[in-house]
Amino acid sequence: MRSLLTLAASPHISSRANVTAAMRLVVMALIPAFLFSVYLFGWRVIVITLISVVSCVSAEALMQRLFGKKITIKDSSAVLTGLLLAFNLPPGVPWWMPVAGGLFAIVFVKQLFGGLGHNFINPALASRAFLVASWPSYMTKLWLAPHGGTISGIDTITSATPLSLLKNPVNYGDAAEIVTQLNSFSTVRNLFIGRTGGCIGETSTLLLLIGGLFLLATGIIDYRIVGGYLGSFVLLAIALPTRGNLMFHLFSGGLFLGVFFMATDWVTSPITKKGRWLFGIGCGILTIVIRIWGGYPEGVSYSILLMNVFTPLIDRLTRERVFGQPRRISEKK
Amino acid sequence: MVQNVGTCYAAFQALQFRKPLIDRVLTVAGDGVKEPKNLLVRIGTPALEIINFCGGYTGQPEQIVFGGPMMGLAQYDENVPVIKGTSGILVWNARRRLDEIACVRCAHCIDACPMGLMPTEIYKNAQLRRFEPAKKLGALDCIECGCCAYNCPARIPLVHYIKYAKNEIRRMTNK
Repeated sequence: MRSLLTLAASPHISSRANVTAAMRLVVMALIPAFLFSVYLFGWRVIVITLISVVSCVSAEALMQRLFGKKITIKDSSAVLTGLLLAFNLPPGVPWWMPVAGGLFAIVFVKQLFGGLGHNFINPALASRAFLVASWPSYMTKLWLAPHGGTISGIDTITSATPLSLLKNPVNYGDAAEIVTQLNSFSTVRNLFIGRTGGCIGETSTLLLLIGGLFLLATGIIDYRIVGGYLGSFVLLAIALPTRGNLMFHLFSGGLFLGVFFMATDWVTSPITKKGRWLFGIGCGILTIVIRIWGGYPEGVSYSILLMNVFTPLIDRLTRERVFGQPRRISEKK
Repeated sequence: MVQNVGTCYAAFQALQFRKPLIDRVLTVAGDGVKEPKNLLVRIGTPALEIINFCGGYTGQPEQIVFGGPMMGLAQYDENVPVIKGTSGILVWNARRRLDEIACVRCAHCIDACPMGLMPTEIYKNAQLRRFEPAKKLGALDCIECGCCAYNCPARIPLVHYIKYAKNEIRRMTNK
């Protein structure tokens, strides 16, 4: 008799898809926005991003060593967390902030809950919330003027981001004048291209859109979350009373970073199809509610974090309908 | 019930010429066999006979599968005979296997499932030996097409876990 044959359940072939490859594709999709940020804010961006990535990766290795687990830093998930965390920091932050943020993201949000696949909220966003709560002044004031532009995207005012200007225009001068300028074509164009202040990776709507469409085309992110988020956001931005026009709201702040790279995170978004629609719609509603009535000028990060917490509930309430079964059979006892 | 060309032809033969089902057409393929062929073989022929007829092995076979690559059954021995449902014989030399990691909840299995099941949920329950919830999730409706496991980026053998759940559920109900 010949040597033993391999016995395994079908299927005996598989696609080339694997988590590491997917993580690397997401990192690739973020590269254009990163390079543009280096052009905008200078070498600091490279340093902050590197510190953030290195802290995340070393924190992951350290924790896995501590827990006696297999060290899986090569799967690039910690690299992606580090990159996304850096994208959420103002370019002027001191060097130790990405270190604190990276440690919090990996140690507390990811590894203590069981590592890849088990964290219940997005590590990069949770870490951003942690940094905003701990050092609010560093996280909201250390903006750098972009290369060849101003922080606000308006010619004369340089001290505030577009969304904080929209929130409290009276603090910066003639309110009516400022709002008109914010809604003008030139400001919106600056916002779309990204020639404005903001966090490291959030400024260029155009480049994030290109990266996001790339991820959609490769099937890594789900169109339901993107569609639900953008759809509800657009509808509400038109329907609700706000000083900014639709284009201003779409292109300012971290909306596109959130929509394409944060809300679509596999681990922390619902797995059912209906659930993914609901999740996206919820994110859109919360974002616009925070922007209009909330205490913060920007609502993307908190709305996604809140919906992350709702994810298990959404999954439980929206089961898939099994083919050939009447509707709602899965809930029947 | 799905009717294919082979069944149709066998039915015709039986009705027209009163010929019982004593042979069938099957495909021999894979990198482990020298000359892949489509053959009309007698039911009961051992796989090894057929492989030798196709020029023999190209190397040390690692896996022999009866059926197709998605739903076929891996065989434990090369002398297993062809039965009426054997649509093909696949012989492979080296199998690429990636390590299974934790589910990352990408939901690609749910998007792929033609039955509208949630393979990842069934798998998680099966792993914890929670067969009652697995049953409620429709584990018994799985047609084992393999689309979920084919697409899984965490390389979880989902069909394996679902088959295990099905077995346990049937054992529970037969008691």
